Amino acid sequence: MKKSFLLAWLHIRRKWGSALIAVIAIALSAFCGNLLYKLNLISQSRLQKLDLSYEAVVGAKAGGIEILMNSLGGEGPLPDYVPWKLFQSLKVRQPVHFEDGVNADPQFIETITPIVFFAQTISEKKNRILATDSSFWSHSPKPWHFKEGQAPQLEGEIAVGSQFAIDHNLRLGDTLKSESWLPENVKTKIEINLRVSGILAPTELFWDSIGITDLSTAQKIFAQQPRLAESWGPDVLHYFLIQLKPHGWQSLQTLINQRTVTQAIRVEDETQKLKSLLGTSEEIGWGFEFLILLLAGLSVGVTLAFRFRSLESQVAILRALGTSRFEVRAWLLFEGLLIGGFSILLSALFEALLFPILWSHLHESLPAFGLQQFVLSESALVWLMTAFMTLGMSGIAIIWLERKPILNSLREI
Amino acid sequence: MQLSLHNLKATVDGKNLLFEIPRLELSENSKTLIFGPSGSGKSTFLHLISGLLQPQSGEVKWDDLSLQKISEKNLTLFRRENLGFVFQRLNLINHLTSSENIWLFDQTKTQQEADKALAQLGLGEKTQQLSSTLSLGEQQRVAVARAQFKKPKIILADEPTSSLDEENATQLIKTLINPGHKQTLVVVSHDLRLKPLFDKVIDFRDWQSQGAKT
Repeated sequence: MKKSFLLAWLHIRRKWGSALIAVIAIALSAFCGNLLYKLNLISQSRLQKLDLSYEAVVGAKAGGIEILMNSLGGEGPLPDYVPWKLFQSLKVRQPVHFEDGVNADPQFIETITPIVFFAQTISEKKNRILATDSSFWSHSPKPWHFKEGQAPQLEGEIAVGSQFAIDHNLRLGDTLKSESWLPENVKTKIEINLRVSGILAPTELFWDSIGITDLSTAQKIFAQQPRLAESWGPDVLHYFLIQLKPHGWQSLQTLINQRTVTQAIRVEDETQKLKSLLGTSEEIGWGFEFLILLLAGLSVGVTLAFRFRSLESQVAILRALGTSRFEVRAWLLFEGLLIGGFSILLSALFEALLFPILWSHLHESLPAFGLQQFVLSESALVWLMTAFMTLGMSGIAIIWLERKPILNSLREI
Repeated sequence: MQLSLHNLKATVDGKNLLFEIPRLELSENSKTLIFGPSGSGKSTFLHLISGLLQPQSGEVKWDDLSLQKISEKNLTLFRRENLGFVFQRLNLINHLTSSENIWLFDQTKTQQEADKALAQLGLGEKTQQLSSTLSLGEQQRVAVARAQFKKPKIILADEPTSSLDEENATQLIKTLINPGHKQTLVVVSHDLRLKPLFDKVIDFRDWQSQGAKT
């Protein structure tokens, strides 16, 4: 075994140029495989961050997926406003009278919760702050749990998600400095100090990175901007999060989409569209990952095939002089393992250095990727595949070389 | 070890007869030169008696061991334990040093012993040099040192002096002929200078088929 290991090590060391090229090629293949795999995981995780417990969302007219991602995922630019009056009408189940004489009776709504994004943190990492009313806490499809404290009761109080608290090093009672987040036509930024009234338990959803205040806090800011929204002044919201009564969707859609300036989306439908768009339905996702890993593996295979082919004469010499098949096999397997091992280490280095940079370009609106988020287990699968393919190619090389008569290989020298 | 050949036939591409040896016996510790022109089949003869090639028909026996009746694994073991081979094309491993080309093939011995063996052939200064950077004559001496290193019972050498001057050729053959232990030596060569140094000289043309001779 020592002889076999020495042969492998000396071959790599003395032919370090071609070995280095092989290692870099395999490392890059593994890195690209890992990158695509992680991007696929990120795509899926974006979906996983959405709070899909609400049935419908009403917002300003925009793409359905845009409304979904903005209202229940906290992504995208500041959305357009919707009138407060419409929310009031829908909330009190007040019949809505239209100019053409049609009346709509919104009895199909079970619960309706308003949200409006109005501020964000001042730090480099911008966390969004939204305002809502008590129905957000009391009529949520899923119950809220606080790690500490409670929901904001007064103007100027804020409850923060678990990750939000970590990112800004917040504890109960601390004061958070934030600034207003208003349309671009509003040039002045208003500084807002908010007292932390509660820290939410982790939800594994986008709420973990959000701050939540009472509507009165946002309304105070909006009141200072009389021309906030051209048609409605400061009396605006962004979204209504809705739970419907049975068979209520058709009625909501008819009322909202055909009769108002807003748009209603069904959360389930838009989620399916998003999954199709991202290609992250479960079957496609796994198939895609398999193809990525197969591609990386084939790259490994081709690189090693050329390297081992050059060993034909050396193997023949060793066999002619009495080196056993076992020793030759061990030599080639050691060489495959060494090259695979160095490649994996280099691939890990590429990941540690390059992935955060790539991430920051691809997902500017999402939390910054820090080294602490470098999850080894997510990379281990691709590394395992790399090691497996490297050993596999060594095995194929062994079979191919053993089939060649010794003398034929010697005569070709 | 003693070599016995019976009705040995070798062909070219399995069809045309290259040579035929009805009977040959070389006693233990004998020094034999197989002499003949280039392309006559001398290298093929060495490959047959080393087990690297199987004859069209006939038998090769070293002592009572028939190379045609043992498994491939045991054939490899036979070569490892009993045989030293100096190939016509030398077949050194290019990326190993001259010292590594020797001691990696017999790890029961040390690198220092390999260096000493090279020094005996005038290569004491070249032990750490890659074999690919040595001159052809130096490579030939390394190949001989490799063959001799484990003190095998049989040495087979194919044109071992082809790139050497007379002085070095004589010196090298003397090393092969007087190894200091019992050893059957078979050298194939067309080098006329070697004839006086051997107990037995066989003209390979006697075994060549008529077709091969023409």
